[in-house]
Amino acid sequence: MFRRIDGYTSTTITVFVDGIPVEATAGEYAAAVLLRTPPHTARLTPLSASPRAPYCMMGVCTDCAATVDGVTSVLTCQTVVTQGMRIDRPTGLPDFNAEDADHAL
Amino acid sequence: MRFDVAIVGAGPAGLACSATLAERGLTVALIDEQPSPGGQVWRNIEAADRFADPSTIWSDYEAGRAAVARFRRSGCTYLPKTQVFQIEPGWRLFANSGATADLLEADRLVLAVGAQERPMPFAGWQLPGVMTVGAAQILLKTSGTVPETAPWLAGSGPLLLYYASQLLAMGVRPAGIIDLRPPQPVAVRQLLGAVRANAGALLKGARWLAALRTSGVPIIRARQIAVRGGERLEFIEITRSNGEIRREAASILLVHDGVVPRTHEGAMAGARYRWDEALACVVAAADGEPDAPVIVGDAARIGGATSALAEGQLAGLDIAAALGKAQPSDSGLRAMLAKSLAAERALRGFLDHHYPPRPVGDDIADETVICRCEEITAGTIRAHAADVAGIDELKAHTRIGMGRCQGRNCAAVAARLLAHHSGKPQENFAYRVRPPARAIRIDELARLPTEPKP
Repeated sequence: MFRRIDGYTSTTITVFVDGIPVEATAGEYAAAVLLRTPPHTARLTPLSASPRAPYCMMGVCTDCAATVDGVTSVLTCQTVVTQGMRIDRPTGLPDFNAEDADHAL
Repeated sequence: MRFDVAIVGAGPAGLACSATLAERGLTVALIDEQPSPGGQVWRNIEAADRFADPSTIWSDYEAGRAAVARFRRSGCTYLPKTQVFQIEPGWRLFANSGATADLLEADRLVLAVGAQERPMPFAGWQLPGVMTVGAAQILLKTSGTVPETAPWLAGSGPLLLYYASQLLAMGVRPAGIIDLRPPQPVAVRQLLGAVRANAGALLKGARWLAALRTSGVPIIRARQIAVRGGERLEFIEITRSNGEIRREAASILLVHDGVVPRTHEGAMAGARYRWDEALACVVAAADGEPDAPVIVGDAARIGGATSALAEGQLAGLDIAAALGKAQPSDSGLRAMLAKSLAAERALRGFLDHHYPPRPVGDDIADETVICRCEEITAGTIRAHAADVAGIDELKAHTRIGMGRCQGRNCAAVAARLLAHHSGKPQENFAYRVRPPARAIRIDELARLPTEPKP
């Protein structure tokens, strides 16, 4: 959904979105990486499992939540990327009846 | 840790206030959510050398660099990446950084927490592909990125025009601008006042408008929009004032309807706010209670960065004087700051009239999601309008405002809808704030110290 402007200089690092290596720049936010990586979404809503994307980029709306380095429900718009960071988008709502049910929402 | 003064927020107001106090030898803690100082207006400004021409990226770039540099030199204790989730009188501030929650104490509390964009609900605003103009501008400042395809912009206000002009300067031509200002006469008296006091700022705005006009980007005056799509934005339906509906294919829509004070921290600290109907937002009620927190900058009333810088400095002078650290040069400084504030207020008087907030009423379709977290629609709120006293009761009936954002995006809209449909004036435009005001992990809470570290 977004692309880098010409002439922007920054150190390039690699992060993993849903397991796939993606280029990022040092100092940017994980949400910015999601907005460059199709399908440009973050969380699924807990009620209807509707996809949401980063909306406010300043910690107000919480629609940018994803799993970062195994920690669920992290606001990606408040999380600066690090080399090798794993950002995972949900594939469905958690099954709370499952044996290994996580507290993910 | 105990400090003379704790300040929350590292935007213009917080930076100026903390530097003023620390320069006078007081112990000051500045707590901020972001990893570097500047607030939203000067977000990531210390990384300006990544851009060929930083002055096109940040508004009042030189002033921002100077404010941040002064703060860095001041000797203030800076706590970045830290979120305050509870404030108790006295003052005790509970905050978390990374996975660690901590407690710090201070004799004085200054809240310089700034603003958030006014929620602007319309059918489909929750779909991926729709985001705020402010969000897009933060992506520019922090990532150097712009929309990949020609974006539509909708709403009104200086920020929308500023960002549109930034896009043009970087060779990105918006698909169109949907001007959703309510129809109204030109505010001649306010315009003249602003011309006299602050012609430079008006010229800046006039240049943005002129750049848009010469670019040929269509500007469509309209009454309402709706967004259609399955998993993401596909079409924008634009309703003109004559009722005609125009449909435009779109993949990115950026919306903006001005900014409003951020209030969760103030509410926790016992600050009082009053609803301002013309501004359609709360403003801090300056009641002068000795044990109330000091609220400065946009967090008290929207005034913009220059105003916040002056207010922060003035608040710093006041607190320093109260703590016996006044200096002979203070009165000259105060006079200079008062002049700067008066010029900014004249400008704001015009902007408030020229870009009035969008009405909340019949134009919001029943299907419109008002509470994005709990997915509560305008139709559901309307169904309860006759039998609830206010938004806290509405919350009990519907779960509105009980989601992760804690009502930051729905409270004022819900209150305005209730007022519109019930005919009853509303007392509350924010839900009661209960700790933690930010989502924190239960293990952080469990490890929280009950006494501050020495």
